[in-house]
Amino acid sequence: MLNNLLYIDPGSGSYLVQVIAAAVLGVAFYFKTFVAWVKSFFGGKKNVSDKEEKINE
Amino acid sequence: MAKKSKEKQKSILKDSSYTFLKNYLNNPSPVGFESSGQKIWLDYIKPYIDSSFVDPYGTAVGIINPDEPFKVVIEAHADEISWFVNYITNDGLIYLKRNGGVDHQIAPAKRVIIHGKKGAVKAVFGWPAIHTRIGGGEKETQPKVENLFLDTGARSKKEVEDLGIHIGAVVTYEEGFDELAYGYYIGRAMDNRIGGFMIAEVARLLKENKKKLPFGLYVVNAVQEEIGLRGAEMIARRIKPDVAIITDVTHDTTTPMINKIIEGDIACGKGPSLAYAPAVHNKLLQVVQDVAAENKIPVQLRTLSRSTGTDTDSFAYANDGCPSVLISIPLRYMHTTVEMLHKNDVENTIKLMYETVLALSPKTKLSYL
Repeated sequence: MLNNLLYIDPGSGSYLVQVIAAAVLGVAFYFKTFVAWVKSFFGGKKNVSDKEEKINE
Repeated sequence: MAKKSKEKQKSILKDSSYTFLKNYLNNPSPVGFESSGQKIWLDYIKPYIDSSFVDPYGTAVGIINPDEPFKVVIEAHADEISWFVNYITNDGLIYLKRNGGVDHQIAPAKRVIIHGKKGAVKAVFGWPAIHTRIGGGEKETQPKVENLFLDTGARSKKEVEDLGIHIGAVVTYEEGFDELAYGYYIGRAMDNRIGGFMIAEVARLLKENKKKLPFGLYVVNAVQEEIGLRGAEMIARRIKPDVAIITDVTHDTTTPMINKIIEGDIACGKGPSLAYAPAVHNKLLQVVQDVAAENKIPVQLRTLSRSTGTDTDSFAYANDGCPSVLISIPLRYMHTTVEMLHKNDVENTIKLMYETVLALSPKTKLSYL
């Protein structure tokens, strides 16, 4: 009886793995974007070229 | 051969002109340290002018008719983009700071000259070998000011200092003048040594053709353009000109990786470029366009807005406003060591400035209304 409860059929198993992987990646990318937005909002590090003066001809 | 000699006869440039151009181009003249170049330029122009002076920061001015109250300027800039020694490591490597808009992307493996207290010192921009670089593919390390360094051969800070190198020593590239096929010249600092050359040739032609001008002509070779048009700013206030004709380089936009929709359509060999811009005086620009049409000098038009990025801005907005115009020579690969331009454009730009100077008078109507 116990053995039956541990059984997951191959179709449902791979579906479950996909759902978990998508959730983990989705959360990770959400927070990456959010952190980047927070950094830029509070004046995070700019590109080197942004800090340099205009280049004349 | 016959064709070649015919072409040579038509040229307005003399052998002595080319000798001057090569000497002037091959001499380093970094921003803020232009004196040696200014000396070469003044020595060449002196037979063709009535008097000259040098301002406190080194801008050189040759004057024809110095007593005339109406003043016309023809101007170029004398300085050259370069680097500053900024930090010397205990291992004897040298890190740099830009002196003008020098291009970090072309620096790796270039040969340079460090202008130290004991004279010129040779060095190279070191760069890790393709085999040993950390990273690869798109993540490959890109050159930037923070990771570019010079190697003189010294292996300690003391050895570097013993060569006369100090913080603040300027660094220039080694490459000089050369010629390519089909009338192209290349070299470091064509921007804007070619301008200094062209205004000097205008003065020479006026003298040799015995032209009398109804105004004072100020032939100005300004310093410190590359760090913010500073030399022009100073000399415009000192001279207080009534009209200014500025010459500089502009981009040939026909080479790869340039968007003509943004940069316009300008090509080497098709004549000087005239810019429309708020700083460029419309009436004066029309005078130049009329002169070009009358003398069959080809010109190419472009547009600029808030800033021309040239000394035109400094002259136009100096004092109470000075009608100014920008005559540019097309150039490929600006701010690299292989700046390339066409000799026909050099001659046509000289002709256009020369004929414009002859067309001007204190009575030329430049009023907008």
